[in-house]
Amino acid sequence: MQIIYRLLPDSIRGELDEFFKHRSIKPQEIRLRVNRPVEINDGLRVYWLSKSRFSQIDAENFLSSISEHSIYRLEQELRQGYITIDGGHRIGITGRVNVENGRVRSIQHITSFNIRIAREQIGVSHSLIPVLWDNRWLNTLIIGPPQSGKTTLLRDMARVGATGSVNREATKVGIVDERSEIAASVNGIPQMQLGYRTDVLDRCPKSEGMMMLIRSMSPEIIVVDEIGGEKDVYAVEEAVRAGASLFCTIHGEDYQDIQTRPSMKRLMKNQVFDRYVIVKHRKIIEVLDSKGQAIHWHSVPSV
Amino acid sequence: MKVIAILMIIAACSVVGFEISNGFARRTKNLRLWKDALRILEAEIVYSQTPIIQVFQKLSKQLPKPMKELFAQLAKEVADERGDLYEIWSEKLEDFSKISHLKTEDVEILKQFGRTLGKYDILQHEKQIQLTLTHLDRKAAEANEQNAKFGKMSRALGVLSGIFIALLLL
Repeated sequence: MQIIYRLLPDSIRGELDEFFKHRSIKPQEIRLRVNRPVEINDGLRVYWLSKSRFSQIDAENFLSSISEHSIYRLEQELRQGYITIDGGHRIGITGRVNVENGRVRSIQHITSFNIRIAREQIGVSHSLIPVLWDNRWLNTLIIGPPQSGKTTLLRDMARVGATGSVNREATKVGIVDERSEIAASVNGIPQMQLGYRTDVLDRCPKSEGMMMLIRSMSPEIIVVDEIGGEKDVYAVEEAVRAGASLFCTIHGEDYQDIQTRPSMKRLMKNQVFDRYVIVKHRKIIEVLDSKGQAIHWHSVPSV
Repeated sequence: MKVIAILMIIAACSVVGFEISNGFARRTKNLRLWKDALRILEAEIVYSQTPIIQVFQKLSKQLPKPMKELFAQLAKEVADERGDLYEIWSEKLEDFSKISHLKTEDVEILKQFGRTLGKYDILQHEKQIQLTLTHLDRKAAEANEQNAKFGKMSRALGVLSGIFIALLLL
């Protein structure tokens, strides 16, 4: 949080300080919009800072600060619409989009910032280990709506896999981190704890990255966030054929919801995934086996 | 006694003359150094996309005095402060202009450049740096000319005026 505080305009920082003094909430997002009050939400409720407004000049200075006064370094980021800063926090941006040859070239006059506060939750996947490990790591798909804690859980699973324990050796983990969400890399260096045996391909397209990892890093577990495209499915099949275990996530409500998607149908029919973990509101709801049958599993920790 | 006084007058006037001539030479030299600095800036920003603080640090390592101190200070202040880069830049340039013999118009060019620094994309930076370099080239040519014209002259004038005053007093 200190890192974020340092970037904010003085007036907002003061009010935010005051806000957190009186409430004990764990913020998920802080949203800054030009000429509007500052929004704070914890995934369940929305809070507003009533006094301070985020001005146009604040927006310019804020962008300058997050780029370390070097906006020229953010060309790719401004095209993709988000910036990852130290500490793994991600700042999403919207504004006026410049288009060139039908493709987004950059975002100018940025008017909204969405600071997604990275929350590393070490140990959230511990209770799952018994159902995900059976002499090898089972192919696992985490299903959940946005902001449900999918990536937090996935990150911890990667860490557990790459760390090992008394009766389980650490495995080689390859992460394809297309949106810098899992490892939250800055200049390619992961900001999150991911264990010793983890290699990260930062900002790499998922399907291509998975093939690259198989060719170059011989991973035993491949970790990818938010699969769903036709290409992703092909890469997933290829990875399984190469003998790697998979930890993936997908946007969705539940098992039935995913089943209706054409690209996922084949994967599910072929029972590529051994386990489905359903998460909602930062809680693990249930664990299903390859046929979609619930597995008896106890303890419900929050993600 | 008289001889010593005369020698002192001549020496003092000569020193003044040499100082003035030195000013011309230093402006030429500092303008040349600024051109070097801008070329390094260009390489770092356009090709390496190095963060501005690190660019300043590199510049302070690669350039001789007094540019060394200037960029070291810039790097430090930008890292410490959360304020606007341009404010720090123009403030430091003001200090720098006092010791560098740069003219107000030279400093103005550099200040204008500072207004754009770090605020635009790579293409814009490339253009700005080229533009500033063109301006500095013009100023450097002018400084060279003045140095050739007035440099020697002010030295000679210094010595001669010393002798002239001494003669008057005799």
